[in-house]
Amino acid sequence: MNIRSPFSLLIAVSLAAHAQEAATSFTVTSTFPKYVTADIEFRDPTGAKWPNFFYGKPAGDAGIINLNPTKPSASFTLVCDKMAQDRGDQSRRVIGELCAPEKPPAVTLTVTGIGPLQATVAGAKDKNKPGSTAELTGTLDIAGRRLPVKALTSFRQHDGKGDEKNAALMLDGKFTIKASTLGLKKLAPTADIEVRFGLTAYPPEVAASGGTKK
Amino acid sequence: MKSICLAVLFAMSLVFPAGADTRFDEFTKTNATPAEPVRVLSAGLLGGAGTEWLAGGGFQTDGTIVLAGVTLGPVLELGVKETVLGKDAAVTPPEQTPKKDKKGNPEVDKEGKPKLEQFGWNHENATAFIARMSGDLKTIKSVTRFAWKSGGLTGAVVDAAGNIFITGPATDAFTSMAGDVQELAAPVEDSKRSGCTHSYIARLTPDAAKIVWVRHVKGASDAPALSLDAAGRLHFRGPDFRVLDATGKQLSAMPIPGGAGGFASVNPVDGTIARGGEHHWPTGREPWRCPTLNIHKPDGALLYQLYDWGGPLVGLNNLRLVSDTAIRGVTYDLQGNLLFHAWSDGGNSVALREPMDIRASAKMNGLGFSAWGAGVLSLAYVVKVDTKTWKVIGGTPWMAYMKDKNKPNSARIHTLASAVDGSMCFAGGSSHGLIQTGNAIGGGEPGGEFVAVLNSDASALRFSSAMPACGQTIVDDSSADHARWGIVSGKLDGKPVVLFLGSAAEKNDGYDQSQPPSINARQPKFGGGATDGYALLLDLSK
Repeated sequence: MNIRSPFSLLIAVSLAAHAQEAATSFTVTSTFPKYVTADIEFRDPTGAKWPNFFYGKPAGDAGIINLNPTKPSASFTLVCDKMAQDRGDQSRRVIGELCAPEKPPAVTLTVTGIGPLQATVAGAKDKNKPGSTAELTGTLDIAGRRLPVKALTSFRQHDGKGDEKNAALMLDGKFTIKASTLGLKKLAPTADIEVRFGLTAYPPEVAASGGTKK
Repeated sequence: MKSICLAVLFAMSLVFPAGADTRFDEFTKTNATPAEPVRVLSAGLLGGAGTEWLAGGGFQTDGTIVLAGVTLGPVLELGVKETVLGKDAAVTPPEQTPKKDKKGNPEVDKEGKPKLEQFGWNHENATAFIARMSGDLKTIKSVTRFAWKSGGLTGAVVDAAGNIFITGPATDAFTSMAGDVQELAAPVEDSKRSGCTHSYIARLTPDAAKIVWVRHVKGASDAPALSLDAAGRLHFRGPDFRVLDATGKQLSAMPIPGGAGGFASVNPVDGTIARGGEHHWPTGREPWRCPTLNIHKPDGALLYQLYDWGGPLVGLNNLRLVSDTAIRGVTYDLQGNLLFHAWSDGGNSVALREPMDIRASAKMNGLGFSAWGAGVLSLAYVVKVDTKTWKVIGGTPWMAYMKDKNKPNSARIHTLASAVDGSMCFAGGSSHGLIQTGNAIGGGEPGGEFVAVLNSDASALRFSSAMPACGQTIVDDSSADHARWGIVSGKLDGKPVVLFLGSAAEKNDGYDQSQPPSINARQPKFGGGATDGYALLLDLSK
């Protein structure tokens, strides 16, 4: 049986429907939703060191993302002040030397600008969800250091079906920094550290209504 | 989540139209001729008119197999006159207590008969016994029993010189044993465990005829456990961890890190301690049971915190690994690799990811088992971790598959151990649809109590068999689901072998009415009491 045909039809119908419905404006607030929506991770691309995973919420209530194709804008701050596996010896982790056991530093990502939007080809994982990419600009604050950031970021519209019950915008951004910019002594100064962040943002009307219960 | 599952189900219904093979058919066919099969050397009973089970043992260099277990009496009667160590006390037949549900109401079976609680390692009648067998398990060389009710048995090891070391719950009758009997200092910390309050370690002569020494300690403890390291030292886990040499001299003692609850094991190579368990950590959207696997230095200080990701992180929209998950038992192999088994209530489990990298898939797919299409069920996982890199070097989810629907079914693991050749051996209970290998010996329905052997990186299933009527007693509490088998591996005539040791009833009361499997057995027929001991001996050589 050829299973590609019915799927292709489904995808085409779904894409068309979503293209008409997709919102362009999203809020990024600390008050909605109640659950955690942001994470930032640091990764050694060689795999020699273990990654660090931070998570948290947006700061304040004024964060916005506008994906107007002709005039996009973005302004929000993520405060990821919790780190997974924060107990015990941290020396195997890529930024472990900044992380005393049970006293990890807060990681703050402040986005102040966005470049032109590029439409993305639907990927295998999210066939029915239209997306786009853009470069977000801002700063990364950690352990008393502030680094300029240019993060290639993907934006994926979510229709409110599935575990996330609200219509939403899923962000996934990546950028690379050098070990020296964090003052790390146990890595070569020129060693790359890959940084990835994730965020879920919501249409203003969803956030204002309090969304669904979950 | 539901919509994703429905979409997957819809997609798979196109791939697997009604009437097509299910994954039960597919995996049964795949494993009909195992790539690295084991050979069943013997499977059979060891029991008399009383109630008995086996829990541990070992191999002596002359080819003798040492089987160690528990008798609840009132007689042992294995067909060979037994040597009794200590002064016998009166013993009455054990009575099984009615099983009750969570509300305290008696449980009944399909025929309305009351269900009975299984006997367990800390029964008041528990009395250790040792049977020395020929290498083919056809002949009993000797039987030794402790005085009735003096102490049970939850572990046994045999050293290179053939000395037999056993451990278990003790009673005050132990102090009346002849020979070198010493009480060790009580633990410095109360472990708040509840299985027993007094435990022992004893060394017996290679012929098991005499006690060389006994050490006993008072303190709350789970089922005492015993292992040997490469230097021949004994690692005892009772109310705390202790290391003794073969002369009975205590070399060290330390509290089990982390207090009560969880499951702990000592790495025989470097003395580090793994402690697995779970705790509740809601995601913010749902409750979540979070697995914990802490690695402690030999002095008890926390070294690494593995898997313990936290609910808010796993609940992120870009992860959603929110199936409840728990580490259910930990152990080490002789090379110091960490083995553990885990449980989850669905397929979106962090058990499939690396212990220190939640976004990296672990090497967990050697058998090709996956849980797509599952509802809420119990899935099990067998995982081997390299303790130098802390990466998974082999593992698999373990589950049954329904015969008539292309859906997974539940399976649980309650015993896991490494064999001398690195094979991963485990036992547990399965819903209907257990994937069995072509060399299975159950002969009945594919479900219920089972034993299985994976190769060293879990890429091949060497043996899997339902074991009808077996696993009828709780041999220790090294797992959250209470172990019904002891697993012992060693060399016999130079070949790597493994023994699965437990109990069997006269016939199965699960998916079929089969009798316990019997192959090259000295005792194919049930001897009496509630259970007999049961031993399955597998040749692991390739």
